Amino acid sequence: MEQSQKASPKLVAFAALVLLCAGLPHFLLDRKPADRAPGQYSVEALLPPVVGSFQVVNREQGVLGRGIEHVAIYQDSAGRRTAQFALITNYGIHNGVACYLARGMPVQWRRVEEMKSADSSATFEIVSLGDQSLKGGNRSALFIASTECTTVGCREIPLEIRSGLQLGWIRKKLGTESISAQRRPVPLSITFQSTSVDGSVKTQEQALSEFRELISNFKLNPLRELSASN
Amino acid sequence: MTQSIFRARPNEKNVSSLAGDWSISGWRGLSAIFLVSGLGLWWAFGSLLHSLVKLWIGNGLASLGILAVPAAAILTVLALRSRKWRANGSWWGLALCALTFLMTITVKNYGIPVLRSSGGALHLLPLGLMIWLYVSGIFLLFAGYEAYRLAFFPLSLLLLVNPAPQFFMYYVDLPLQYVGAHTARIFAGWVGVPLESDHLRLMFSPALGMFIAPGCNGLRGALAMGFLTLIVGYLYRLPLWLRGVYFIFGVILAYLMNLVRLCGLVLCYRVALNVEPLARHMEAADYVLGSLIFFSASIFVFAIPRKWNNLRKQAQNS
Repeated sequence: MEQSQKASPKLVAFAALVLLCAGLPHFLLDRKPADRAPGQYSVEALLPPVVGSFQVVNREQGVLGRGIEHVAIYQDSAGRRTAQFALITNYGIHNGVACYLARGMPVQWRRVEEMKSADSSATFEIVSLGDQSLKGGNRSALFIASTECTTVGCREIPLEIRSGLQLGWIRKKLGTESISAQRRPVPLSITFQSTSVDGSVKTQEQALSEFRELISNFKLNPLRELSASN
Repeated sequence: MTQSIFRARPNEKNVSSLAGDWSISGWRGLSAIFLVSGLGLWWAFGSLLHSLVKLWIGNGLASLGILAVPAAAILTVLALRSRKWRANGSWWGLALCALTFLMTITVKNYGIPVLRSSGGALHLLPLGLMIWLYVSGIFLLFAGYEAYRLAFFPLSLLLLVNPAPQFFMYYVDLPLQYVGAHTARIFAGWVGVPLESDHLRLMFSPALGMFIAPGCNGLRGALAMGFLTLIVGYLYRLPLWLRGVYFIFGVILAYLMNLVRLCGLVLCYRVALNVEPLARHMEAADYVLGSLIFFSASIFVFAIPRKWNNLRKQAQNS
C-alpha cells in the first residue's frame, strides 16, 4: 500500500503536466486556422503547350521529397531541338544545375547570364555539356540552365556563392519554410539539346542563341505568382 | 499480488519491490501511465507526427525511419524482460517531460529553430530528439535510472525516426550521386560501351539507357545496413568500440555494394543491347540485382559478430 502510494503522486503530477503543458497548448495553438491555404495552380499555365516554335511532346509528374516535380518536354517541328522544362512546387531552394551535374556529365563551361523571358527577365546559371559519345562527333550541343523564381524575381545563386551560417525558424509544419515577404522559391531547370541536321559541327554560340530565343518565349511570371502563394 | 509492468523472472528477489513501485495497482496503473503518456504524445506532437508520417510515405529514404519505432519498442521489452533492476522512479523524469513540452510549445509558437547554411537547414530541435527526450522522461519518472540505463540503446533508436535529415542530404546527396554516375560511366568505358549525352541519361543506344537518379546515391543501402549493424551489434553485445567499427564497416560496405550494383547494371544493359526481351525488363533487373547484392552483403556482415562471439568463447575456454 505504501509502495503504491509512491507512484501515485508521480502519475498525478505527470497527468497535470500533460494537461497543462500539452493539452492546453494543443487546444490553444494547434486548433488555430492555418495562415493561408497552399496555392492552387494549373500546370498548363506554368508549362504551356506551346513555347515559341516548340510544342510539348510529353509531360511527366513525380514526387521529389516533399515537393512535386512537373516536367514538360518540348520539341520544334523538325525534331532537331529538344527542351525539357522541370519545375518543383512546394519544395524550396534547389539548384537544378548542381543536381544534373551530379549525374557525371562532362562540363565544358559554366556561367551566370541575364536573359529576357516573355514577360520579364531572369538570371540563369548555364552549363554547357560535351558530347561524349564516340559517334556523336560534336554534332549536338547540350545546355542545362536553372533559376529560382520568387516574388521579387527569378535568379539563380551559383553554389559557390551560397555560404555562411544563419539562425532562423521554420514555421508551423516540418519542412515548411515561412518567409513573410518572400515565399518559397519555385526552382526551374531547363535542359536544351540542339542537333545539326547535315552532320556539321554544332557551335556553342549557335545553340546558345537558339536557347535564348526559347527563353524569350517562355513566361516566368506565373512561377513568381506561384511562389507568392506557396 | 500485483503484476509488474515488465515480466521478471520468478526467482528474482526484487519482484515484489518492483511490482510495488509500479502498482498503482498492477495493469490498471500501467494502463493509466500509457493513457496519460499517449495523450501527452498526441497533444504535444500530433501535428509534428502528422508531418513525419507524410515524410515516411513520400520519401523513400526517410521511410526507413518507420522501422525505428517498432525496433525501439521490441528491443526495450527484450532488454527489460530478462533483467532485474530496482525500479526507483525519479522526479527528474518529470522535469525532462516538462522541458520537452516547452520545446514543442516553442516549435508551435515560433517555428522550428534552424541553422541555415548554403541552402540547407539544420533543425536544432528535430522531432526524433524531442520524442526521445519525452520517452526518456517517462522512463526516468516511472521506472528509474536502472531501467533507463538498460533501455538506453533501444530508446535511442527513436532518434532515427528521420534517418536522413535534409541538412545531411544537402551535403552528401549530390557528391554521392556524382561518384555513382562517374563510376558507372568509367566502368562503361572500360567494358567498351560508348555513351551518348542524351537527355542526361547514360545511353547505350538511342533507345536504351539508365538514369542515375537520386535513389542511386547508395544512401538507402548504407542507412539500412547501418541501422541493421547497430541492432545486431547490440543484440550480440559487442564491445562499444567494436560496435562503432562494425557500424562504420557496414555503412561503407553497403555503399561500395551500390557501386558494384551500378557496374552490374551497366553489364546488364550491355547484354540487353543484343537481347531484346531483356531490354524490356531492365527496371526489374535493377531491383533483382540490388536485392541480391544487399542480401549477400548482409549475410557477410551478420557473420562477423557471430564469429567474434565464437572467438571470445574459445579464448575464455582456453
